[in-house]
Amino acid sequence: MGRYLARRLLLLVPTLLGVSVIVFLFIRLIPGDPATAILRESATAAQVAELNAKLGFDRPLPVQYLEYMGRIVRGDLGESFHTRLTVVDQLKQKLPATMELALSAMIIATVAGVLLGILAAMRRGSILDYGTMTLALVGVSMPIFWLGLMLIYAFAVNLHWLPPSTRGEPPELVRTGLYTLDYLAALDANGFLDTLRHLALPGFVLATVPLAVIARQTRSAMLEVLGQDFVRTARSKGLRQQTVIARHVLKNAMLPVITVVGLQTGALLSGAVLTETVFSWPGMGTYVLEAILARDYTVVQSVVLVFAFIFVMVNLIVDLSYAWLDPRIKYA
Amino acid sequence: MSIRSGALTIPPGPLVRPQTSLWRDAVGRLARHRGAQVGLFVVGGLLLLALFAEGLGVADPNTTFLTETLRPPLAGGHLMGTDDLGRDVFTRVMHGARTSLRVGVVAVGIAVASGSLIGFTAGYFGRWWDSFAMRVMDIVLSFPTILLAIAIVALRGPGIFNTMLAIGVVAIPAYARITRASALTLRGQEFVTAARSVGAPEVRILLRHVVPNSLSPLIVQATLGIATAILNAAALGFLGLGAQPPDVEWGAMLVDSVRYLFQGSWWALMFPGFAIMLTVIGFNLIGDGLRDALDVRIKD
Repeated sequence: MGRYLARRLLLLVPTLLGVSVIVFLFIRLIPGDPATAILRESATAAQVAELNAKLGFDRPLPVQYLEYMGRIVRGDLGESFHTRLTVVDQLKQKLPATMELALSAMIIATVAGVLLGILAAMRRGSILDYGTMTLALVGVSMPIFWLGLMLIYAFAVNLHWLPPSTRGEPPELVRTGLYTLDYLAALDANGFLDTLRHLALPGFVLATVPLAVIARQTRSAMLEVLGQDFVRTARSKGLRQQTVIARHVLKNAMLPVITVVGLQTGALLSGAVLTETVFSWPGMGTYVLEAILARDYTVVQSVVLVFAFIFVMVNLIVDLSYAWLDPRIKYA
Repeated sequence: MSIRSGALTIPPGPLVRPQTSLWRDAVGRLARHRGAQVGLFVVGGLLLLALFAEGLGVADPNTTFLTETLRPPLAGGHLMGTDDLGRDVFTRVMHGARTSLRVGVVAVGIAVASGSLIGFTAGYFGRWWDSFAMRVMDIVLSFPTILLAIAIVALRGPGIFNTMLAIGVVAIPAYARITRASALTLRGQEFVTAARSVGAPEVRILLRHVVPNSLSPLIVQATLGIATAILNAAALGFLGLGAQPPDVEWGAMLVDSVRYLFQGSWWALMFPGFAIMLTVIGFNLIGDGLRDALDVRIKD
């Protein structure tokens, strides 16, 4: 396990270096030069040259790359051309917002997906089974931004049950940046409930795809285990249905489900960009999208790098968790 | 002529089932697959709407009826109502089908062509090229798909072609991995060794023996890939980075109508989204049917 971990961490190095090279080249591949792109077409040649010199774009590429890596290693992700705010400061606010949204979505998706999958497998061929699997197909096939808008129309515009957008009022004392936890720590029930009301729609929308995939995977894993000899043995010695399911089937069916939960966590980041846009959620997704539309390339560069880093890390954690959960898996 | 042996009656005619090819067998199984039937029906219907869009709706999807803006469905002969500029939503949905199907197919075409070139050569020839190519694929996979697609479009400018390109590029690793895995398995098989021992050149072995035997998983993945590509294209359109007017695109139609949602006009938003969902369901169903018919297992 130790050696496996070491090898996996070592393999991260070339991947992350590759990612950094791509992200670094991205800004330099923009047609024309970045300074013109930033200043727009009205800028004079002298202004463009000055900005290029200021940003270091007049130096050779390898030199630029090393300087860029040097800054990143020191934790300096640059600052916005427009707002002059540093990316690191912005991320301190945006990252918890995205994390809170993604975690809520993952909790909804895992709990509901596993439950629906188990029920569908135990009642195989029933209306419940067909219904769940049809919903799962619809879930993976729906554009989530459309679902989001439709839910806003139904629950916010028409019924006025839930707020249409944003995270709600921030707590007076922001400790973790996750409003739910901060309100809990402050023992503020109203604030906590208001945060949950704001989380409900975007959380559910972001959860749809993983929920559908998890439900499908749970169902098929359950069906596979239910057909095994040891399940028949357990039944034949007279164990009750609940005991068979809980002790013998679920334990063995959960590993592929955990795989999918992990893979979907990575995929959530893509969904977060869209969900945040629909709900004006002040997270990483809206941040990077605004930066792209404003041609704020340092921000784009740094946020994309952070996204990729999180993504790679999540995948690593998923892989490691198998070894921990299933002693039969041996990593060399 | 019938042979009697005990109580068992053997019907006349040849005892051996007439030979059918692998592909004909698969087509037969697909035609009997309930899900695939629904999928083919949906996609076929959309294809017809896309082909005959001019005849079925208003001649030009960009025609504006300024006296008939934001009409609800069925009002004034507009089946799905009109949008904020008085454009006929039904006509635009049909033209959007054209765009989406084209983007989906071309994007997957780009991904399959580049991905399988990378995957087959990496898996079959191996060595440094394999390690290098797979490392690059890992790097591409390190970016969330939508974000990478957005970045590519931001770099090259919005439009249909760049949408296809961006969505095609982000899908390459999936095809590279599948074809590499097939090539790795097949290159150790006896018939490949046999071909090599009679002196067949490596490229010929790859093209005549390895590629044809790896088609099943590739076909399944490509069909499911069209569904994903259409969803991603709609997402880019929704973010304002996809097709630009006068091209009609479902995602862009959606975002144009968001402002009017709060005034209660849901139809200009409802129908394009519904069309996206239906198309994606159709391709997913065909893909699942193909998976069963061709008996392949792909990890999601």
